Amino acid sequence: MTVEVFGARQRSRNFSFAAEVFAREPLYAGAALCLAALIAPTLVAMTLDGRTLAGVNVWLKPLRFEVALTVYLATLAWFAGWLPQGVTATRWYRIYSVCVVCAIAAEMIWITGTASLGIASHFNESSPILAWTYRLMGGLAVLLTSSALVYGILILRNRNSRFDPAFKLSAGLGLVLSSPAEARHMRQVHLSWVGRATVATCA
Amino acid sequence: MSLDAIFQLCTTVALAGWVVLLASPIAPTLADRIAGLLIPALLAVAYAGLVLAFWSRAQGGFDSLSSVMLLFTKPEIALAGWIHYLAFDLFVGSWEVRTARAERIPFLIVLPCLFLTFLFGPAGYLAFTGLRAARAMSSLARTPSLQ
Repeated sequence: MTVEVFGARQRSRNFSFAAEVFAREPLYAGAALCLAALIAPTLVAMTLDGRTLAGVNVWLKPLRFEVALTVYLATLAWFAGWLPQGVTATRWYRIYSVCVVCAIAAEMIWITGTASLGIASHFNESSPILAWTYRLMGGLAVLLTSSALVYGILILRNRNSRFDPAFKLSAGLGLVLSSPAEARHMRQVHLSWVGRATVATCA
Repeated sequence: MSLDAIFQLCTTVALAGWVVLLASPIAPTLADRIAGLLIPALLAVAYAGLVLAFWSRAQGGFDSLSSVMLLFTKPEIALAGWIHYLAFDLFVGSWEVRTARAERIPFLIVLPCLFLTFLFGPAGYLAFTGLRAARAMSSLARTPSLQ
């Protein structure tokens, strides 16, 4: 019995990480590439734009989201190699993954748009539209982070006997546990943002 | 980085792309990659960064000539517009070189079109399209079935 830890393709001679993630999950891999492509113009904007919000450059937040979501999607695309056989071809998965990518696109448009206007995206209650957008984006953030949870559950339920059980458990539990951790981290990020905003306002 | 410095840098980089295009008969693959992909992409990054940073603070818009003129009164947006010219002109120039190579049009005939594209973008494209049309017509006239 061979124990498959890194996936069969990794042993092939012409291994490349990019080709591998595109083979495993083309939609997430493609979305990760698009997000990565946004990093360069955002860095240019950050260099040229002196506006700040809560004491930091307005473009820092879009940059953080671009980097974080690129890593998130590329990681998920990599983990797609351990999903049960054929799951990525099912109807529910295809609809779900498109929804996740659309949620990420909406978040990025919102965060980049508000940065370009020089206003806060999160906790912005200054107009009804912004307040409602913030609530909607909160829902979409839950949707996009749920993908780690879904992947974790699917990997734990994968009955392929070629997987090392310890590896399966660690990958699956890691993903399942990272979902609430991710949500908590996002909350902390938001709170620290508010904290800084409050300090800035008070000052 | 000042706007003038960005202007100088982008113009120099675009000029380098045109020089590479001139050398394309010697190194076609390299010219395609540099003038058709790398330099337009770099200019596009500069353009996108400028638009991200300054678009929301510019007045005007696309709906009328006076709106467009108002838009370009903001130096950052005028610079973005200039980089737009640089990127797209070079991209079209490199497309002309690639197309000419694929259609076996001699490089010396393409040169005037490239020169026009460099200076007056769409006029060069028009000249190149006219050149291709003329060649297509003359090869059509030479086919035996039409004689």
